[in-house]
Amino acid sequence: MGKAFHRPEALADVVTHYCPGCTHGVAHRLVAEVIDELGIRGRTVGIAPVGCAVLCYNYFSFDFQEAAHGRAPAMATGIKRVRPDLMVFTYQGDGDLASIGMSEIIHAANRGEKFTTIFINNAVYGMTGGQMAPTTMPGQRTTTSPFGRKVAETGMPVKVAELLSALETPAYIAREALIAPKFINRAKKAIRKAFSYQAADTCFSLVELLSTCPTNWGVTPVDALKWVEEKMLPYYPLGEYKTPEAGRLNPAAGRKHAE
Amino acid sequence: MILGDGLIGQMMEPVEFPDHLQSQPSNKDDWATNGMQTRGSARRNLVKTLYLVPEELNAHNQKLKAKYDRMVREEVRCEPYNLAGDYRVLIVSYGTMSRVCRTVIDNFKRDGVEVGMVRPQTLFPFPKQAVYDAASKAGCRAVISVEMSMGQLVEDVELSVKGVAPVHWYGKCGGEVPTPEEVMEAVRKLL
Ligand SMILES: Cc1ncc(C[n+]2csc(CCOP(=O)(O)OP(=O)(O)O)c2C)c(N)n1
Ligand code: SF4
Repeated sequence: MGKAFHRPEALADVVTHYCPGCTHGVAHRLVAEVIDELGIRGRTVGIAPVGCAVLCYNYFSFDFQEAAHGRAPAMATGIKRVRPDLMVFTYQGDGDLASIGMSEIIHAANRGEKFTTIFINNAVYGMTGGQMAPTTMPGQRTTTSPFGRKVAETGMPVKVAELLSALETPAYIAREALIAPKFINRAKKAIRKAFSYQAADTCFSLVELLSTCPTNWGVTPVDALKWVEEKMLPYYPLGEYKTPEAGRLNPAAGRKHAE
Repeated sequence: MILGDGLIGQMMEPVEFPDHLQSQPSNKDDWATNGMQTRGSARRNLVKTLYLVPEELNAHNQKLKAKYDRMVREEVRCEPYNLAGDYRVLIVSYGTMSRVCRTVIDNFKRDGVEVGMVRPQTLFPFPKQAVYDAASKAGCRAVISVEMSMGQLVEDVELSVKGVAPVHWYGKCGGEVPTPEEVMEAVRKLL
């Protein structure tokens, strides 16, 4: 019998530092599978964030750079503009992308930079101990919102996919979740589309991935998956928000998640 | 890093751009993230500064220290002005302010009074040795840091002078340029 499940070539053969139940590892695997399938490992450059995934370059097996906190889009812009033949992507958390790096990502998307962003939304700052992020859910307890996120003081969570798809320029914006096989399969399709659009020289693409941080949420890995499904999915609808073919879409209207 | 002088930033003159400027892809194959297949290599390149293992970070810091030491040896730049004579006061000044100070020194010379100047051209590495040597010269009674700021330079001057002469400060800011007369008055008090 042939071997059906193997490590993608784009993924290094090492043990990661991620906590048990963290979905960063799932996101890495999906990106690596897509890179293998498209045969682009030799011309791919990744930009690592500041956050738990800062060490993601240890788990991928192609060229990588570190960026200052939130500045991965600026670095990706430079590399892609000088070498349009390379496949360039940033991998960023919600603290990195939606907090300190918010203006970087908005302007890179709006300029139509031809790179791809994989955006991990786990509703907290993971690396630094679970502080509140712009994406933290109303009422969610974090180390900096010990009584739960108060909307009256901090507003509602930022919906990055919706925000960026309101811009005219970006080509492909989607949100998926890394919580069960049927969702993970959808997520992979979205990542594959994002990279394929880039390969076809289409402008900016971003896939937001709803993820878990059991450690900082203070729950078990299984409960973390349930929490995403119960708390995050209703607020962060899944689906494509913008495609080059159809333009702007509204997954929240009509379509239920993960049908 | 080049620190621009505010006055230079406000100057205008027409410039001609070439038809188009093109960025040059890097050919530094030993470290650039230009894609493994560009280099025809199975080895990937990684550009990073984060080292979490103390021994590795220490080794990296030692490497950077050696680089900074080399910069101190090879990159320090400053311009001496009127240091040959028997000056009684040494000015340390940079940028637009140092132009005014040249006029100050020339005016004093006409009256038979010698004043010298060291104009730092690099802030890091700071021309410590040149400032120290100039301040240590026999006959030099005082050092004055003349700045268009409230003392951003004077502490570096104090560190460099190492107490061989008293260090004073004169300056103005907000974009107001001290006149030669105003600087001369400040220097005269030290003569
Ligand atoms: C300029 C700067 N500010 C703050 C920090 C501290 N810091 C490190 S990681 C982080 C938050 C990362 O959170 P997120 O992007 O959500 O990633 P996660 O760890 O959850 O994957 C912060 C604030 C830093 N490294 N640099
Ligand atoms: S702290 Fe959270 S985001 Fe970071 S590795 Fe652990 S579970 Fe994952």
